[in-house]
Amino acid sequence: MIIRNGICILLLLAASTAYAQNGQSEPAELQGIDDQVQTLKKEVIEINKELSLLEEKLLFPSTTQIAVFLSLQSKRNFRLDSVELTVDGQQIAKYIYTFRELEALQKGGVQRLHTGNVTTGGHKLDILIRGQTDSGNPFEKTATTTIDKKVTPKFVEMQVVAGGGEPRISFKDW
Amino acid sequence: MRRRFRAALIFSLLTVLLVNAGLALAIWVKSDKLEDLYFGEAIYYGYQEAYFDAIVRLDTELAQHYALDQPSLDSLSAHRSEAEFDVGDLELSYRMHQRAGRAIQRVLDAEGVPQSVRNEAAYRLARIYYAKGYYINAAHALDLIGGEVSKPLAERADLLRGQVQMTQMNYKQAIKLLKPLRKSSELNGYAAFNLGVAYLRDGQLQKGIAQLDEIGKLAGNDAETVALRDKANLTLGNRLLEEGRAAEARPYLERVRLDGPFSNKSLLWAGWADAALQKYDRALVPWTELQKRDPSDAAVQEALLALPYAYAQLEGYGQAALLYGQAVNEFEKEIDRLDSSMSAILNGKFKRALLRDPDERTSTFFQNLRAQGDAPETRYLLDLMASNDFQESVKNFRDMEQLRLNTLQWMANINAYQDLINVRRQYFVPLLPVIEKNFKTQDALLQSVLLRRDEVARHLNNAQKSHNVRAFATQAELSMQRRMDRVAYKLGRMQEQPGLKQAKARLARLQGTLSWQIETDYDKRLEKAHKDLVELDELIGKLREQHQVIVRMKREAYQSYEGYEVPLRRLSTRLQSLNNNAAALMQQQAGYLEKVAVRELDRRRRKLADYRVKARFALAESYDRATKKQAKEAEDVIREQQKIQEIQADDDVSPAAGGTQK
Repeated sequence: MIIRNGICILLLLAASTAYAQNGQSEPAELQGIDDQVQTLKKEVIEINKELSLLEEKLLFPSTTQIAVFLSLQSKRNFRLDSVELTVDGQQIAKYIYTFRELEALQKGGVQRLHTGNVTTGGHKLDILIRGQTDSGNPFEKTATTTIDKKVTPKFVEMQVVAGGGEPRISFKDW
Repeated sequence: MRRRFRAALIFSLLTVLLVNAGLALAIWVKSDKLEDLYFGEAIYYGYQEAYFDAIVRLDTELAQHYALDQPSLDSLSAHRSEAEFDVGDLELSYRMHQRAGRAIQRVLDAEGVPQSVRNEAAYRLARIYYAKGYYINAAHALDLIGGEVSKPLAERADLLRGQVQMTQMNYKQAIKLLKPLRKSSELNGYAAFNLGVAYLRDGQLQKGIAQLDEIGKLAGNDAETVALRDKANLTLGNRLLEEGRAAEARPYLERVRLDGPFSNKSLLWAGWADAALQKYDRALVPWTELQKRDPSDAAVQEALLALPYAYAQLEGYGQAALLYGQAVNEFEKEIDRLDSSMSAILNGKFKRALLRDPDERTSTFFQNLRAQGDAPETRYLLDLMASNDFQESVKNFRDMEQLRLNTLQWMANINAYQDLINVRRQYFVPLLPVIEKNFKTQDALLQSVLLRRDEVARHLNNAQKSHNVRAFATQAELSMQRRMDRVAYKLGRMQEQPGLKQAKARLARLQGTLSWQIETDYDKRLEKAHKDLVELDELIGKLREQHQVIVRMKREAYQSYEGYEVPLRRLSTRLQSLNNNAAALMQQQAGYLEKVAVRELDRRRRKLADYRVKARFALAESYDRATKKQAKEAEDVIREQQKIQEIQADDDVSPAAGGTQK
């Protein structure tokens, strides 16, 4: 009797496994929801696109627009912990990086650190970065540049290059 | 518990990975040199798996690029093909298969696209079709790959071809495709694993065993390799067990790590392999280990019955009865837990739990959820996530919440923008007419300066052409000239008188000196005149720049409040509608999730109730047997004692009899 019970259990297990593998999804219902989800995603992306353009036009007109970006070239062990950006002596951005953000920068992504408005003419930009070098030593590095804002939008890229030791910071005017 | 969570997560991921090997790898095309900062920004979000943000940014960039009169002059033109690809890839990662397919198809249909780009597009399109279960379409897309194909792409494409063939049960064809890939380092053993499975399904048992055996011994300690190794060993053990080759199955099942996601099944099956060989004492080892583990796991539940069964086979009826009793208790506790989970799900706690941390990535969200404690509504979530459909539905549900919040945020922003526009209107409306009036005056002045400049330039040109030296005479010289002309006129009209001749001669000398001075300074003066004109042009240039700045600022001031009302109203209405749609879809998706979850938990409950009946029955039977055995043993003892007593009695009687005889 006990052997028969054991066999029953085995059969039951086999049946339940097959049941789980085949699943209990209602393909049509699921497909229907999925189609609607995809359509909604498309529509929300579209409206976000439209709103982003409108927002830029409204808040950052090209005459005064300035955008500051940060890119990073470093080895995996290098760690960028934080960045502080100052324009004409006024701090306008302060950022602390998560591991995921740092990884995205190391892979070649570019972070838009700040979008704002400045008057036409010369402006002083100061950057302060903190982190850890490849060898694990903490560092703090500053750099300064002057930009000339014209009536067209101004894009500045701050390039942090760390090839061992303390990083170098350079500015690229786009 | 946390270890089990990690194991279950790896198991879920691996299950999907093995089915869709290569699909989860979003490889964005990346230039060596970045030419467009906003493209780099979109990729930054893509790398963080913030797909929505990445798509919005890239889509916006592409839309702006195509709206330009000369897109070729735009910095994005250097990345246009990549951007088209990437947006498709990101959409695929964001589970927008329909749109991703269309985006990539556009690249394929475009003229003048390099073959390498077309090949990559065709492969990605095939992946999309495969993921959606359109296998024939996937095969057709793969057929579009041609010309010179890079080795990594060729290998990925062949793996996908092999997988497509397996879905069509063309295992021989799949084997042909997968065989050359089995040593590929790019594919991390997935091709080799699929080849082993294809052999097994084709009935080539020995080859399948050999192939999976190789995967089961793969070197490496990274999570992916060890999980693949475990999966191969478990598959082999299971298949051999099904074939009735229990002795051969046992070593493979032993290879599976004891702390891995497949360890429960391997322990269970190892026990059954021993049981099939009638080695119940050996089966006790894996089953004893297994019955100590999380009782919500199906393998553990089965072990709770299997272990006393083995004891019973070894005639340990007492121990068997004890363990069956424990099993009944465990099943009852688990049934209670399932009941409380089902009740929590039906009360809406499940969907509320799924909405915590809406901005968090799904995998991190589940880790956080688990870390928050063992709540009834989420206790079985990870088990349910093993189903691809359920996983997709949870992701969709969370995506919808993200979209709902996004539309809400924009609606709030639009309200703020409308206020801002009103403030700007109040500020600029009275100011702009004054600015306009001043601007017109300044503009008229500028126009007059420009006219005068042109006049000067023309004058200079004519003077230079006709070598008109007088044109370069200074005001003082011209005044002197005029005075001398007047003196000459007067002298000419005077009567002859003493001193007149000397006066005329003196005047002539003076006139000569003046002419000499003007004549000899001509070159110097011409050069200076040109220099002055250049300086004037520079000044005018600056004036024009300032004029342009004022024109732009005036226009921007006007544009800062004018022309937004209608679009903002339209967008606000659309946002409201999208927000409603997101909320309605969430309801629908939650309904589906709750239904599937409750049904699965109910299935488990019924199975456990069945196990409980069996355990109770077996418990009774074991007691019965134990009692019978005990009674038999007692009977045997009594019989033995009786025999001894009889023998003793015989012994006692015999001397007496002898004595009597004496």
